[in-house]
Amino acid sequence: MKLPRYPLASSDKMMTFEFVSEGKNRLIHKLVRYQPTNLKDLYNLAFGDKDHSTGEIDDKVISNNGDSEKVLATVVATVYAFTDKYPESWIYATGSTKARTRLYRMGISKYLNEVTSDFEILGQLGDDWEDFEGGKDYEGFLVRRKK
Amino acid sequence: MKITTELKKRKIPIVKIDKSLNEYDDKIQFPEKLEKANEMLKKVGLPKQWTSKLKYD
Repeated sequence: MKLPRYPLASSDKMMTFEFVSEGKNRLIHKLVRYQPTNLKDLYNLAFGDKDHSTGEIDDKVISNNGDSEKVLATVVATVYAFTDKYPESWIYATGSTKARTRLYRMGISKYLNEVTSDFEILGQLGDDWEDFEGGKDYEGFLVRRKK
Repeated sequence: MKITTELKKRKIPIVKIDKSLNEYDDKIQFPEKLEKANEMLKKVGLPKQWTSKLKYD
């Protein structure tokens, strides 16, 4: 993705990424986590603001820092980095709220042509998976790197 | 200049390793969300178009 994005730092295993959102309001440390699920090679993507006092992630906060596109591009960059290291991995993502899921859906829709050259993306509708289409109210997303 | 241009074109970002982030790798954050994801995956299953044989841990 050639869009502007923030510099990234990660853990040794590249399962945790951090970047700093520099928006109109303030500097906000963001964390992106890839957490193993019960299924082999399938990871849950968790994303939110880092709470410096607790070290936890707040995935419900609305930062409103005016840089949502750059933040989204940076999260996508972590997907590239993670799947580059773990090429057999699948990534499941959903928002902590319906509004956030919708935001993710809109972000994927916007850059669909670009990312589908490198990734297969499915959307979850009820109990079914289908090829991602813009404008549908998916509950979650499944992504894997193309060979 | 050519290197700068190439760096800008990279889709895979150059990532700085920060060992202070290692502690997060073993933490389970959002246990409810992770549990919900696990339940969903068990209920819905994986896409037939992608699956052959998968292992449950």
